[in-house]
Amino acid sequence: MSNAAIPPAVTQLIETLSELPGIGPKTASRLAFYLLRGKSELALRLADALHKLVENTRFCSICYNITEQDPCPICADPARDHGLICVVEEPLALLSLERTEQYHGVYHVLHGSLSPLEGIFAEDLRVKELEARLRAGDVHEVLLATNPTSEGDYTAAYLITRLKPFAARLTRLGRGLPVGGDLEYADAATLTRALEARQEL
Amino acid sequence: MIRGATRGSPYAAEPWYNLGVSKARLYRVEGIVLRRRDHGEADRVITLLTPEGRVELLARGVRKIRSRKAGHLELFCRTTLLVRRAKSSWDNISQAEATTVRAGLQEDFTRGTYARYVVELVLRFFAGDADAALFTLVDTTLELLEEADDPQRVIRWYEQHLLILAGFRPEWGACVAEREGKPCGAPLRPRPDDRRPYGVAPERGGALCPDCFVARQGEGTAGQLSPSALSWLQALQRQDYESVAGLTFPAQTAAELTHVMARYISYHLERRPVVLRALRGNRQIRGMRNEE
Repeated sequence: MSNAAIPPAVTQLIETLSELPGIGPKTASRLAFYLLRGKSELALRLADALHKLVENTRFCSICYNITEQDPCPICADPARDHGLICVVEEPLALLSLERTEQYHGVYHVLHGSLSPLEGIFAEDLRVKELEARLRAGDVHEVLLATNPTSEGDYTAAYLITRLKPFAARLTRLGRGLPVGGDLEYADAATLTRALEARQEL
Repeated sequence: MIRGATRGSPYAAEPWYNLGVSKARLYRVEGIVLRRRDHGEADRVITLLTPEGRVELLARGVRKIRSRKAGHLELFCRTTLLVRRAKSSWDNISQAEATTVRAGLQEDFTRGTYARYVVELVLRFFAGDADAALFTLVDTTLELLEEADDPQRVIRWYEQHLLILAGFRPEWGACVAEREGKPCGAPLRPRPDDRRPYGVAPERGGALCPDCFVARQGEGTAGQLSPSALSWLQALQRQDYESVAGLTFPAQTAAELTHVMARYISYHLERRPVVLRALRGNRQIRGMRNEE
C-alpha cells in the first residue's frame, strides 16, 4: 500500500488496520479514509479507546479474565457464589454465559485449549492457577464449560483427571440440540447426547 | 473423486491434483479428519486424510453453534463430504456426513492423546502423499484405539506398521551390525531364558545380536534390548492386530518398548514427536496410567 500520492501517516494507518483479523487492504483503506474525512473527534475517540485498552486492561489475578481492576468485578462481587467455578476457554465465552443472567458463580479463564499437535500443553494454559484455587479455597463445584468440540472435550477430559482429587463436584455444560435447528441435520454425536439427556415431562 | 481438491490452494500438499482433473464444480470425497485450525471469523481449515492423499478444505461457519456441518467434522471422524471447487483458495465443504464419529477418542484423555500421536506420525512421515494402505492403517488404528482395552499396545502395533509404509521398516529378525566389514545377519530368536541382552541400533535400522551388541557398546547410539521386548517387536511387526490383541505386555516390557520406539522414531524423523509429552506431564496425577 505504498503510494507517493498518499501521505505516510495514512499509509501507516492502512497497514496497521490491515493487520487486524478479517480486514484486508481494501477494507483498511476504506476505514482509514472514513476516519480521515469523518469528524476528527471519532479518530481521537478511537485513539483514546485504544490507548486505554492497552494501558488499563490486565488479567484478573484470580480468574484471569480481562479486567480494568484487580480483582475483576465478578471476583469482587460478594453476592456471587465463590464456591462455584465455571471454567471457560476464552473471555468471549464468559461474556456469552454472563449474557444469560442465569449463572451466579465465578469463572476461570484458561486462555486456550489443549492441542499437543500444535504444541499447546497444559503448562501453556492457566491450569496450574485453577488447581491452586481449588487447593486454597472452599470450592464445592467446578463447572467445565469448554467448547463442545474435539479440542474442548480433550481439554475437559484432561481437567477431569487433574482436578478430580480437589473438587467436590465436577460438572459439564449440558449438550443437545440447538434452539431453532432441524432434527434432520443433527449429527449422530449431538443426537446421542440429546437422547441421553432427555427430560421427564 | 478427490482429484483437484486443493487446486490453487496456498497450502496444497500434493502434486496429484491436476492429474486427469474432473471438471465438476462439486465432487465427493471420503476421509478422516486429521487436524483442524480456526480460520477467519467462524471457519475452520480441515486436514483430511483420504485413500488418495492429504487435502486441506475450508469449512465455512462451522464454529457457529448452529452449523449443520460442525458435528460431522470433529477430529478423527470418518466423514463423507461434498466439496465445491474454489478457484483461488481452499475448496469449500458444502455438505458433510460423518460415517464414524469415534466419541471414545473425544472424551478419554489417554486415548485422545494417543489418537493425536497417530496423526502426528502421519503428518511427520508423509509430506502429503498417502495411499489406500496408509488410510486403512490409520482408520483401523483409530477404531482399535477407541475399543481396545490396552490403547498402548495398539500404538506399539501402529508404529511398526507405519514405519513399514514410510519406508523405515525396522529389522527385528536378523542382526543388522557389520563385523569386519561384513554384515552379521545372525537370525534373532529371543528366548525368555536368554541371559545376554540384545541391542537396538536406530542408525542401522534394527536389532543387534548379543555378540554384536557387546562389540558395539559404547559407540554410536546402540541401546540395550531385552529378549522379551525383542520378541514383542517381532510379533507386533509380523502380525495383524487381532493376533497380538489377546497378549499382555509385562509392565517393564511396556516401558522398554516405549523408550526403544521413541528413540527409533526420533532418529528417523530427525526430531522428537511431541504429542506424547501430554501424557508424561501427567505422571503425578492419581489414577492416570503412566505409560509414556
